[in-house]
Amino acid sequence: MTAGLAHYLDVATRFQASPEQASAPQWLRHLRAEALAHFERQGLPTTRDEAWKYSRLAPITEGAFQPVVRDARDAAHLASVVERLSLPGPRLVFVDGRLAPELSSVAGLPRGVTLKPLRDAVREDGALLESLVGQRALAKEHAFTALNAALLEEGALLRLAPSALSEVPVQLLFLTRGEGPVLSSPRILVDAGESSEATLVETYASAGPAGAGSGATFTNAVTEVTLGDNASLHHYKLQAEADAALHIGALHARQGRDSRFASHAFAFGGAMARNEVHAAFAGEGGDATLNGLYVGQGAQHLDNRTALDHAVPRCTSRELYKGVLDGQSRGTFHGLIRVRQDAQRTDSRQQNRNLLLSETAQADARPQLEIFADDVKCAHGAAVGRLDAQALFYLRSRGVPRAEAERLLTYAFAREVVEAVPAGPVRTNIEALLALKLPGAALREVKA
Amino acid sequence: MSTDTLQELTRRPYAAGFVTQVESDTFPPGLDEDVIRQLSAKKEEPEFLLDWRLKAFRHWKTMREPTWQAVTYAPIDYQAIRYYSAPKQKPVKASLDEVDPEILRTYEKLGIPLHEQKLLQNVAVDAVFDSVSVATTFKDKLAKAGVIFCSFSEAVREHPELVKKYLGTVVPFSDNYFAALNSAVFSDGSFVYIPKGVRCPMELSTYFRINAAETGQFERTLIVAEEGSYVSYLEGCTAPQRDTNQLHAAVVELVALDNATIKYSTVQNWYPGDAEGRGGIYNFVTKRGIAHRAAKISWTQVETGSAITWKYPSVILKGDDSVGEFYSVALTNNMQQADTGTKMVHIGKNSRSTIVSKGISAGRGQNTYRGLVKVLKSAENARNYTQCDSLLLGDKCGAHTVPYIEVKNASAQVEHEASTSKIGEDQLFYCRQRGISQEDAVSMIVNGFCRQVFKELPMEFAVEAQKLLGVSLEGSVG
Repeated sequence: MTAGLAHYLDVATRFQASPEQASAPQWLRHLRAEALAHFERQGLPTTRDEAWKYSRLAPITEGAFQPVVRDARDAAHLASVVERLSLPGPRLVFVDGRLAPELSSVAGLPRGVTLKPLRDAVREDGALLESLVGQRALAKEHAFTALNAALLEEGALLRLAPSALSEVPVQLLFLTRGEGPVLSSPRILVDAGESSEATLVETYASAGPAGAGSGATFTNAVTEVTLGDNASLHHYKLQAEADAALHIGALHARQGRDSRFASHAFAFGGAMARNEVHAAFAGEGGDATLNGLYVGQGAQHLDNRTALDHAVPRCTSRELYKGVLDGQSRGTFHGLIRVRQDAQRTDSRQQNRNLLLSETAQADARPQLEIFADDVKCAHGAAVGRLDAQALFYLRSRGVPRAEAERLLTYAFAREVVEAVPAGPVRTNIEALLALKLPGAALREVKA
Repeated sequence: MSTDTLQELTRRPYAAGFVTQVESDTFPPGLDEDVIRQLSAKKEEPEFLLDWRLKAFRHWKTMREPTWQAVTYAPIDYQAIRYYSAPKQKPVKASLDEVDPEILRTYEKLGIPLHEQKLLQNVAVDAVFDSVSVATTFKDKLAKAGVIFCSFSEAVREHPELVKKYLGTVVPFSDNYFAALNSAVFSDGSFVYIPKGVRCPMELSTYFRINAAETGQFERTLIVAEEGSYVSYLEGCTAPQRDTNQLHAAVVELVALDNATIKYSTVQNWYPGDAEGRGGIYNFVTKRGIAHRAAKISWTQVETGSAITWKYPSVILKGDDSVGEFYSVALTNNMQQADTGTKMVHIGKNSRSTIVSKGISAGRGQNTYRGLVKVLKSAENARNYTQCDSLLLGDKCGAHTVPYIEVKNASAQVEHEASTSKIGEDQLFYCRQRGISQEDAVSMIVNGFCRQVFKELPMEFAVEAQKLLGVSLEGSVG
């Protein structure tokens, strides 16, 4: 057994044995214990595991990350961070993996929409939770999902009654202060009833004390989404943690008949950040859009994985993942489209494009198709390259300085993914984060 | 198309499935160091080769059979295989007249032009029957040009220095499980050496056939093209129809020195097994070439046979301005499985590679394209274009695409495109409306789908490949 595995096993065992957790409901204790067994059995993945071939997990497996008890220091600073990152509308804020009620507000939730911290849901909606947790994200198939389940405590439940409509986005804001090797394991559950519609934004950011450099933290998030027939969910994941942060996130969605799911994943931060999006069609006529933008600099490693399971006929899916990689950063994309034998009339398209801005940046692409049905339309494409010399020449011949021309073209490349986000506060928020990452983003003023 | 026609046509027998009655000199089944020593002694091999075989065998014993490929098969009992089988006859042949007429008839049945007067007048053929090379035609003409084209055993005897210099330099014996096994027990194969600046005056061809039961065919091909030379090489393969599976684990090594060009074409039609998946060849092959400065290696393959095909003809683009190409048509029908593709490893500056892969799945066949394009840091301005298309004929088959793209140099340009589709009703309707039968229409569309690859084949073989595809596929369109 590796030291890393032993450490996390120890952390989870101590957590489960603590007096507070020992009195948790029986189903939850059982779920955690089972997940821990799955975690121990699987061990921590290495680059020898095909699914983790391009992932540098050493900092996670070697780090001594563990959950912490939150203290209430630095309230004013945190409030200003929340102010900067929050969207208008209801939100729950978590600091170092712990709910921060004083920063959260669920006012203004429309009728039929419930948003509550997972702790409250465990107390109040036990039966419902039991039917949701671990149903989409299977601990037996994923070591980090198992670890998250073994430490299941914090997170949120978003529930939409049939036909409920939430026009304002619901936001979950996860802040890490980076003052110690903190492990956060949030679990987010979305249960969207028939014909309901909502927008959920998960924002991950660092909130170190003003001026101080941020130390390594480890966020291991799992989101489980269940969409009823004809339900619609726009999901945004904005990951802009500090450069030292480690992040593993997995979203699993199950889509009912004629449901629509759009995932927009933006990865800007983290030394090593992996984001997984898995969508499975359970009813005909479903539609899924999986978009992503990863912008890496320095020694960042941004790892993206998507999996679409076309298990039933007549579903459509569209995927666009783009990477902008500078410095010595490395971007990875692994996208799987599986079309099962009965899934006739599937229409699926996947695109991955990577822009390398420096001589030392790297990109790996693994678009993958597994097709067992014949009446399907499936296509995927992947490309790696640098800025188009002709386009650069065009701009320079018109008097645009080289550096500015490069910024402009880079921004234009990234912008395609941002433009897929409907105009509104979420897009403004994304643009602000992108502007911090890509200086060229400031040029949008010129454009406007 | 109606189910009736479908069934009727998929029952079409394997045309090359007969057994030839020749007495053969065969080892009992089993594998240990003694078998290898015996094999080596039988072939009168020099010391270095026996050592190499034994090293490979010892390494092989420490390895485990790979399981990552998307194919399934019952475990192979390596002790139940005969590692040497040769037709019994006079040891040395002065001319074709001395070859067992029974064997010659086999090749005739297969349409292989062993006689010099025959159809493919400009093709020199090295025929490998089970494990030893039977006859090689056109020797003299080639010898005049300085080209060495002979069986591997002969090369070991006549040109040990060349064999020693290049053997295992592209595919070391430790490369993978089946390459290690082959290195230990390979019995024959072809050897080609093209001297500096020579353009080989004709296309070279080897024909492989597995005849005896329970034998494995472990041939080894080594092609060395010296500076500025050119060679086009073709191999074809068939095997008799048997209920048991037979293993074929070959290794092909290509060395293209500066400015040389090697074009390697394969038409593989090993026995695929019957409609229920009984019998058939396990075709587990390691093929790799190394391209030095401004050299070019081009692989073209038409894979219609074998129960399981598992191979990745690759190019190491070591030199600056080197070029690698891979053109493939892989067809799986009935219970066939194919996991094939290529690896292009860009090391040299301005190295370029092109991959065009066409997969056709019918019946319950499973067809996987698995490929790697790797651009190392040194490969300034490397360029790759990959296109993988799959055609699905029937609702029980599968088509999979598993490309890996790893780019470590920003000046590289790498593109990958893949699509999966079936034959459109509108395409069929268009043809039918113009009086073309359903069969012909399908064949036409499929051939059109593969055209990009077929046009890379030498003329005569392109015609052959088209026919082969027609036979393997006819009627399997639902």
